[in-house]
Amino acid sequence: MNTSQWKPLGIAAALLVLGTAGCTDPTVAPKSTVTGANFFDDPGSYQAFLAKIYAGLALSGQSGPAGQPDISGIDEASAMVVAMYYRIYFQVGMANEFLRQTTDDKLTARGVGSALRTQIQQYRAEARFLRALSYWHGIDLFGNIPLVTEKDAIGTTAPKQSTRVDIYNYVVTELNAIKTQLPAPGAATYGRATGPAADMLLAELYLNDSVYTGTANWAGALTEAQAVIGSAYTLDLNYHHLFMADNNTSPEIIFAITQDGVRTQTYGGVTFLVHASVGGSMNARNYGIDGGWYGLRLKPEAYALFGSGDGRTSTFYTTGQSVVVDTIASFNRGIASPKFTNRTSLGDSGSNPTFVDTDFPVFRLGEAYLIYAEAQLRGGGGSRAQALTYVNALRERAYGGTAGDITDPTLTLPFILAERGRELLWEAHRRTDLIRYGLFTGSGYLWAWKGEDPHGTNPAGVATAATRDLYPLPANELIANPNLRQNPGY
Amino acid sequence: MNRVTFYPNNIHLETKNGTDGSYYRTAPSQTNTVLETYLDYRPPANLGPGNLGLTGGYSYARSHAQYSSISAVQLNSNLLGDNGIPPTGIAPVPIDTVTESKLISFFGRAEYNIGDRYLATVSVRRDGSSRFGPGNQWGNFPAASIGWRISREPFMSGIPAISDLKLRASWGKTGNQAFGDYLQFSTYQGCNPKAQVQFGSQFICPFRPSAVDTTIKWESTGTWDVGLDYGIMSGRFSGAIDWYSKHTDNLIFTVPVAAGSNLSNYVTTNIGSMRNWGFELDLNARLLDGGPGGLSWTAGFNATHNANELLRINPNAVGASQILVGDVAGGVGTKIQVLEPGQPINSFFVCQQQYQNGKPVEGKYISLADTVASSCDAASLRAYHDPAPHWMVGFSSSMAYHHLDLSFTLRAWLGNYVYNNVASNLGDYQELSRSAPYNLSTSVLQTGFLAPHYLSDYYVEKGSFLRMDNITVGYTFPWEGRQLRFFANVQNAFTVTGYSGVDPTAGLNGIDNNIYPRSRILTSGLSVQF
Repeated sequence: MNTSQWKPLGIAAALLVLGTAGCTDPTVAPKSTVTGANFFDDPGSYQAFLAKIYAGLALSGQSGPAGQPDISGIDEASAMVVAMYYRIYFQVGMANEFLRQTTDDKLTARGVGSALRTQIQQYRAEARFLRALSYWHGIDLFGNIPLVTEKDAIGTTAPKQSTRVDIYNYVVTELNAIKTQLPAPGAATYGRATGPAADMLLAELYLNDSVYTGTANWAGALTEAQAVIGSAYTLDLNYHHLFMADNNTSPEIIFAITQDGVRTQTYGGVTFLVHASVGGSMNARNYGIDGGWYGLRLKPEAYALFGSGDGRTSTFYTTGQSVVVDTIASFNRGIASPKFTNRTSLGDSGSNPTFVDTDFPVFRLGEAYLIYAEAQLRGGGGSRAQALTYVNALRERAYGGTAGDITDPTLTLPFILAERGRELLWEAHRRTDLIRYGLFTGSGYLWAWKGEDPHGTNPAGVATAATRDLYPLPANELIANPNLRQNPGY
Repeated sequence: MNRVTFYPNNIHLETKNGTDGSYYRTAPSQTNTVLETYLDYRPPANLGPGNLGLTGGYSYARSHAQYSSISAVQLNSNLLGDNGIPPTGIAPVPIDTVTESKLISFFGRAEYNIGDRYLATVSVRRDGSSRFGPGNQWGNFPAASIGWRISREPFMSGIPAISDLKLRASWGKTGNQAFGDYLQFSTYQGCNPKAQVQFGSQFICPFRPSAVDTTIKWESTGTWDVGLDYGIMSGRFSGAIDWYSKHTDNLIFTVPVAAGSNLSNYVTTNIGSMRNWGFELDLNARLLDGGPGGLSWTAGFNATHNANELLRINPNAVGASQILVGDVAGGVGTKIQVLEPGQPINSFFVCQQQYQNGKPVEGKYISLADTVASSCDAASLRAYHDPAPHWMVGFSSSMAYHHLDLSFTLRAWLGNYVYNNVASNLGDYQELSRSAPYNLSTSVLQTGFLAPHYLSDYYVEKGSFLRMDNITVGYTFPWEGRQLRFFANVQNAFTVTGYSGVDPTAGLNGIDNNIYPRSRILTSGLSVQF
């Protein structure tokens, strides 16, 4: 064999080795993509991530008013049960990931300074509040659902189903642990969860304790309501201001899902409430919007709750509208109730006629008054006279004077339920209230279209099974998570 | 490549949707850097009875893609057209992103050949891909094959009719990484200016982390193949017969995951294993060979049979024994297909419709327990047929006689099923009462359904078809020393099918959802050779 033939071979081999020695690492770091590896290099990222958990309550995705949805396939459509279930776990997932990304170890490793660290501790409390809020929605709507916390790693393992009681206890413990770490109330923290917001959420949980765990805690509800009443918030002198485009200036709102016609756009939220309440012969401009969606009206039973002289009815629209709702598809069946509007208390229109500026009041002081009164009547302590004073405070605002005041004998539990129906109309409390009073299902209380589908033959409503106190777990989720057992009756 | 879209501010579309004029320019660019080096070594002398070939190499491929675009709406003027952006009502939005990927491979191969009669090859590749996280980047993919060219054996010399005959067998493992970039990272996505959140008097742009499987790894397929190549009568008839079995592990799919397990309800992950097996038959023939001016006819025929089965779902993949896939139009989050072990992949997941006098009974199904059920739920849902064809058959023919030539391609699929989503979505009278009614699907005349029933197996239809893909007729003649040819061509000439929708191949994965129909294209022309 001739040695000269090995020479080119040797050169080639050397080239091969040289060429490959530097290029054996296939790793590519994303450059213009923000990932967990570089996201937290910017100190502003912690706030931006926290903002996402708040955003999840108001927006459907990363692109307003629609687009880049948080939840694929369903988010921007209207299957409420399915969307609500996945939204709850989206919120829980975001909060858990925020907590995993902001542990002391992680912050130390990233060299986060002490000022930002203090700020992050507050953010962590807010994330835990928002997780507790979503879990409250979860056990209220669905009952037994999985409990997933920051201790569970991200993956694809289906979580185990927990019980309503266990999640209730978890949420109560969480709220008690964080309520002093939350931001203080004030214009500077508007839109964020404050200490009184945690008290208010605890009050809601205790108020419905008998439903969630079978054991009542009226005293707890009263104590928390009292804590809220003792905080910085005061009743808004103008009831309607609570639902107007400038309701961010209301002194009564404890926690709001914020909306903004320019910067926080969604087709859901208050934009839906305002547009969908307008139709028929109503002039959309009077509500600061560019058109009605011909949707929401009052059931006759809701309309009948209100007495004459009650200023809370001043926004009702009756021209061309009937009281009865004998068919659902026609907007003129049922009294229109454009309670939420895109006009300000000064009479101006909001910043955008399509997307409203009006924030959704999740918790407000007025409800704390009613929780106090109900808990007092149910044996939670406190003073009956005080309860009467609180109820009459709301009545006097509604009637613009003492004409609507009630006396002690009128202060009963059924009255409180009716007053909640009036005061908190369309503020997303009615179902929970009726379940607590044992009236949501069964035949004790019928309302138009109860238990009937839109093509039903009995507009007066029919009795329903007690199993309807809970929503079904989404059918597809039962397949995706074999650990889940469906609620009875579905 | 630069692409510009411009819509003036005074056309109906723009005023109606409120954009009032729009301009969009995109200039995507992609740079691929490839280095391939290999050493090929063949010892000059035979090694034993045959000769050896050795190859070793390295390849490096890097892709760098840059997507730059700018979009503007509310154009104050149309004067600039598609040449530039005039003053606008709201600020134009520029986007600039970079996507990169890398694939590094080491490979080696040894071939051994004894007199072109006995052939053997062993090879191995080691591939590293940027698309997987640390610990999962590298995959090893070995392969081996043997071949026996029987026609070269001395005992075949007495059979001149058989010009070529080769028996071969192989096994090999291949990796698949042809998925999106950065799947192993949780990416944080920012917001558009309309999706901010109010913190006091400030507005914050929220960032959202994506769902992620940080341990995503190579999808790999092991393939067994046994085949025979043949040529008869000096290649007048030739072709191949193959039997194969493919076993794929760590299939990568984007699937829904249990709520609470990840950061969204869908994640891209390795879900399980599947098997494909079948055979292929290929025959090419020069049927007539009339020489110049005579009648010539060549024809090709091929047939493939494939069967598919999902073998298992990885126990740690999603924890479920079934995964629902296949979103359809209508309803919300309605899924029509299932990944279920023991069933073909993407099998339709539907309820068996009950019939009376040949007419479907609305809302009534035959449950798995063989009783009549009034709802389509877990007690009645089952895997039922799948969109993949069991047989694919093709026939092509080319004839020539004097100046005339005629060729065509025929294709058939057998055993595939299609979910007629157009019928299921619009085949009920309820559609008429909507605020914006749609035209109904004529299936409503048979079903009489008042409300939609997406999950009825009524809508899973046989999609078998025979299609004339292509016919060409030509006439060639000389004229003033030049060759001229007149020709006419029809693409998608006709389809014979029992499927009631527009096109049994229209949808993705067998879901026919009003896809824009495939056109029939007629072309005629004259070609001149200079």
